[in-house]
Amino acid sequence: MKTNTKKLTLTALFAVVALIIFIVEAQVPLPPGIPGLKLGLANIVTLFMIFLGGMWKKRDVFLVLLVRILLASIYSGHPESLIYSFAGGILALLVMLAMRAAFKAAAIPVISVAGAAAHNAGQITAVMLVWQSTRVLVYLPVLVAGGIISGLLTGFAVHFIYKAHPRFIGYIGGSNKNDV
Amino acid sequence: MKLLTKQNIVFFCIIAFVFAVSVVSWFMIRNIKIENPVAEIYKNGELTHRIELASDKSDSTIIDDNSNVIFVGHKVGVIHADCPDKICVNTGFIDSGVFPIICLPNRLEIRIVGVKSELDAVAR
Repeated sequence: MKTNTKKLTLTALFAVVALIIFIVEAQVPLPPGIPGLKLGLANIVTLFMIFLGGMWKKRDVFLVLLVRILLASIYSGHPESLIYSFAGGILALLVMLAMRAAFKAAAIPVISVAGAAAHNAGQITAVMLVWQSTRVLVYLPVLVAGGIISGLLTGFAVHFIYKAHPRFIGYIGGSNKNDV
Repeated sequence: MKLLTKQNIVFFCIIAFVFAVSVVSWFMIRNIKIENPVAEIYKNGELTHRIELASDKSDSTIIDDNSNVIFVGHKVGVIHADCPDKICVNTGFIDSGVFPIICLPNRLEIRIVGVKSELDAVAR
């Protein structure tokens, strides 16, 4: 199989963009006292890649997500956070792919909110398993509400990328069928 | 992929409903008060300290477990942590409520639990 240089370069670029978004987001102050509450803007890249189509397959999205989580955990510097990041990130991606398959016409923000909810559900489940305690469930309402807000933010961000730059999508090897 | 199809509007209504339910339950959970608070400090899921919160402001204890420094007085809070995110420090001091102070990286949890005072027992 011929190595696809364009795809290789773009994959690396996606991972870097996700990592930069993650690092910038870490500087944004949020209301204190709620563990796990964050904007989750790095999900923009995952979401964007899911809708690309064309030469971009599901495994490419998984790959970029794994690279981003691994590099981000090196940056944030705590190995234990890795469990929670993986649990949230992978579950979010699986749910978004399932939603996309089940509801072909669902808008990007809808899928994004489902992903954000799944991300928080995955993290809370991981914390309950690691801590052997269900006490963290008191955070469920605020994390669900926060997830909906951030899911809408990232969802509309990706929605408008697709709407504003259809030629760009074609240029990076995406499908032209996305008439957002 | 149009935004305002029938299906998407249904989805957005579901999202709005879930959002409303979570905001309301968040405020309900937040207003739970605890009488005669006792601070319980858990490390790796095991109870390591159990300290009654003092009514006297001058009475305080400092607990240093290498990764976190915890102040226990009339309120309890983490004053230093070796983790980068500092969520536990930013939570501030608590003396009531169902929300624990949590440090995920160091697996530290500080809960406030209520204990019925002896006076209550006598009154019954």
